[in-house]
Amino acid sequence: MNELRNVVTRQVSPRAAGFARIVLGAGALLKVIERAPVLDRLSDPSVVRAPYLVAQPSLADLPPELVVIVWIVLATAFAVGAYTTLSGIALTGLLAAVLLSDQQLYSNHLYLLTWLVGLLTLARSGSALSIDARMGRGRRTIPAWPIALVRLQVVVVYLFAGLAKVNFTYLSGSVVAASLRSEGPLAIPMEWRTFELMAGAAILSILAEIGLAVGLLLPKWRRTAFVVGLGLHVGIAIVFDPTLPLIVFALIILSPYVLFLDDRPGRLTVVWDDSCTFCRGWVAWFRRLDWLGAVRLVPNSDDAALDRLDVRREEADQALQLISDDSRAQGFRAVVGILEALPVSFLLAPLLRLWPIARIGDAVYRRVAGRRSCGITHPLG
Amino acid sequence: MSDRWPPRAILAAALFVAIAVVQVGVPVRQFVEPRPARFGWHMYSNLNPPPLAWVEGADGERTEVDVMQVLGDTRAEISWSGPLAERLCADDDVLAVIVFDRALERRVPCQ
Repeated sequence: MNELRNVVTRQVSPRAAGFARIVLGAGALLKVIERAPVLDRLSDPSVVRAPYLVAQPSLADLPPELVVIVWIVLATAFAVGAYTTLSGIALTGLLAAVLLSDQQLYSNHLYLLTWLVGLLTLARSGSALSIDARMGRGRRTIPAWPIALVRLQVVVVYLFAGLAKVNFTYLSGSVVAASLRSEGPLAIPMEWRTFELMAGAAILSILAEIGLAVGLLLPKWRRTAFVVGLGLHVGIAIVFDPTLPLIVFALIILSPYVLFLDDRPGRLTVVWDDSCTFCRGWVAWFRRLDWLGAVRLVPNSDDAALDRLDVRREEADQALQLISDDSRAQGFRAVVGILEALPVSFLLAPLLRLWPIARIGDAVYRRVAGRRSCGITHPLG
Repeated sequence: MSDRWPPRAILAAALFVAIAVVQVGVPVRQFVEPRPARFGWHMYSNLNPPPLAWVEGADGERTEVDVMQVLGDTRAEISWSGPLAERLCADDDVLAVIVFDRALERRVPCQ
């Protein structure tokens, strides 16, 4: 019970939720392009209707243009964070109404979008990175429990998507073979669609999905999960047909990944060489892109701070230092650590830890650091 | 921390547990349904060919219907015999509708 109490009373910084809201809002905007043709067809009286209940009300009875315009307005307001609670509730309601208006309007992507918009609304995600925040309507902290539910939702989707594929038809590779792109420059030739390759791809995809569910839950495996998730969704959008729904799905399901990052502001301390003009430029970029406020920057001219952080002067002068609760890194590894905390790069940055890339990165860092120009001479040399 | 839960925390806890139960419980329930089932996250879990349909006239002759012309979207979760029969039986010359869907053929006589 105490654990439940901690979950429902905990407050967190609203920035990650704000970032997730922006990406999800973009996904909602693109989703309307994909669903509009179905809405349009259902408005034709000669087309079959498949209601869930007899004589149920349906959005398909309204002019499709009206539904599309309202969808676009609400998704835009939600994405930019304008009256986010109101626009989020209205958008959730609209998406649920579309979803339940006719069985032909159902899609797993739309269903997931509805859940995520609803939960991010509940989380008050408009409190940061939003027009609401600019107008002073934001909050310093937001409740953590809806964020926990967003994370649970993502894990559930991967887990059941993976488990549902454990059947003879899917394992035979026939679903993969039938879904591959057949036209255009990225078409997969028919002769490649052999049983061995397709069954192998099917097994790999199941392992990837179930692995994502587990990896996202476990902090130790999260970085790997980020890369696998990005690779999986970009990969299927490239090799599967149709492309647009898969791109939209990638945006929808990748949007909450940022909520799996450690949400404590200032959790990373970076000691940097403030006498170096080159470093100043990079640090300015880090600061600009640190939308989650994860990084605390400490200039290496601050001797008291160096003492406090237990960083030696020569270390601080030699390379960028990254200090977190449980680890320390310097040079290229410190740069990677920072990139893993930035919303724009955290999905890809773990790749920089791979052996050949890390080796090259270390060498390049040492070369650049050795030749950097220092505009101010440090008092201690 | 006092042992008493503040009312807001009780409300949040109730909402948290209720939502989590739905998030997990619905796909668990749908897991035993034929693939794909709605609300179960069964994306790409099975081959989903569109349904096939024929209409049967008074002479007993079957004529294939181009379902792409009459359906809004050929979702694989839908059992098509009901909706297709309702639409195609609207034609007075049709005595029955035959639908092949999810590996099953069903003949629905028009009322």
